[in-house]
Amino acid sequence: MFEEYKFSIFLNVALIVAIGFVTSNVTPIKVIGSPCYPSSPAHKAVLFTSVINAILFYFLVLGDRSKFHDGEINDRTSGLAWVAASLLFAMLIGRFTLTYGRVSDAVAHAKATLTVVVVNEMYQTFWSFNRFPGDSQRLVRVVHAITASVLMWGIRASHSSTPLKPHFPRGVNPIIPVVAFAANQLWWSFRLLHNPEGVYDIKLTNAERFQAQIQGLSILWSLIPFVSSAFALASKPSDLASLCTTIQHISLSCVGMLLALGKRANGGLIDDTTFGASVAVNLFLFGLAHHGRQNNGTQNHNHTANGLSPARLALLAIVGFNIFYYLDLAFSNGKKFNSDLKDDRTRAATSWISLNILHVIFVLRNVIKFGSDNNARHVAKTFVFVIFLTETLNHTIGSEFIPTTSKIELFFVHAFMALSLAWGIRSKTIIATTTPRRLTPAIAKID
Amino acid sequence: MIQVFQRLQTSLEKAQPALNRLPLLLLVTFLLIEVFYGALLFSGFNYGGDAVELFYGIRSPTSSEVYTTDNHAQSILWFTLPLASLTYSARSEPAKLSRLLSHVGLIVLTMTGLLVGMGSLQNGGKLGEIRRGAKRTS
Repeated sequence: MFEEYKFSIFLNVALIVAIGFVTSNVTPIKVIGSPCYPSSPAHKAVLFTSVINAILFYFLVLGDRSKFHDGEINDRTSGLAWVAASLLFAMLIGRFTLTYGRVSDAVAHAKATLTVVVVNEMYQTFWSFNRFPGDSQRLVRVVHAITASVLMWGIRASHSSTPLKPHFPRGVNPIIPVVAFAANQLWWSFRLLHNPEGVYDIKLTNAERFQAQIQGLSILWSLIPFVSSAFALASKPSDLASLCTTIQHISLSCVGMLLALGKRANGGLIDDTTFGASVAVNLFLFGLAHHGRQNNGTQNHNHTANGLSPARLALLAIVGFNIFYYLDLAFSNGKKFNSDLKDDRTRAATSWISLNILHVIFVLRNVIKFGSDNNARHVAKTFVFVIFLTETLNHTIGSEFIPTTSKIELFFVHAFMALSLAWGIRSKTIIATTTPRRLTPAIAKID
Repeated sequence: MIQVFQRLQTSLEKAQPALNRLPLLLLVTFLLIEVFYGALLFSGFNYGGDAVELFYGIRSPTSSEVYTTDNHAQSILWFTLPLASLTYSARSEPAKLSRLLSHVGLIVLTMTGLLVGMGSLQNGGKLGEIRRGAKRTS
């Protein structure tokens, strides 16, 4: 007997670790195309289905729930959030085909999507016919017919032997997505720290207000090392592009969180306007980061050997603590660090804090994996500041809300973190040097 | 400590042919997990009991809750079928599979965001307990 929620979280963390390990040890292929310039009819058909998916995603996420089922719309499940996410996942697979796939891959993708369209149409006709509103059903039927026609054209017009015309996208300067992302994070952090009531749009109790402020602070936990890393890498577009991967990871996990929390009109927790704007901004940042990664300057850089230096080892220890606290908060209701929380009105804040801890791991992983030793030391210094800031807050604003046992626990954890970071900053010994098994462009190492 | 890291590094280099098989293995595992969840959620199969109760702890679901859960189940096909097709198409190219796997990584990260956002039923969230079904008060 185990809880589905805990099991799913553990399963996802295990998958993330396994995927990270495998993609680090098996060199991924390089970019051969661009989603904006499909190189074969099959690629064009895949792009068309991705556009259709994007439009459906827009209607499903921002639209009225009653358009998707007849009668009573009281829904305590989160099925619709998962349906919207599935559209996003289909778009991500489409992105792979358009950016890395050859003609044979695009044909295989188009054939599978055609099967999906047929199965979906059969499902609507024979299984959910009496629950899907008539107007929506007719519209979806027309969309299915057009999509199937385009896919069939793409499959018939493309042959696996057709030579591919590779298109290497020019991309944008990686500094643009980095600055845009940092500005967005800073804006949310400022809003939550300064005026949490404005964000939640309800009268908060003092404990809830503190929880929302911690949410704002938790954004800084990853933002400060991120900005520090960006400053250290500002002169090297190739290394800066690796931060774009971190932006992609963070923005997509934020989209997932937003979909699960939902908008208020559909029974969710987030104000409708904020919800729509946040989903749009995060998807925009994801797309911008995609172009930042593909900047021409990033293609010509070879990574040299990365030594496992003390600074990296200290950051690795921080990652370990963050994994523990991510799981700790994901499995709890936030009362461990805020004993006065009475109900779940700020449940969203606890979930965001947990996710923001995960974002710290993404940022530090990037520094450990792609950054130089100096970069790691620079980030370690800023992380000491982050620890100092958090500990100060715990003993000032948070002193009346954080239980004494948690306060002591956090103090010792912070002290250990600060000591290991100090050791990492001061010591210059290289513990072990990993020989570069491959000298591939940075873009090929980025996942 | 130095020796441990160096040995680990050497053994990883020696195991490269075996490592090259891991992307395929992991992609197939991910697909199997997704298909399993799809089957578990679809009310047409009713595998392992009522899916809405199994996942959300809702004893007497409304028709719209069953419908949404069914839609969730079939929406899994929207990305697993193209993913399976691409995996088969690139089955002998570890580098391409590795890149495909990194896209699956993005999917898993979005799923993690969704799961944390849903939260557990005990803590005022939505996900119940598998096997026994947690009590829901609202």
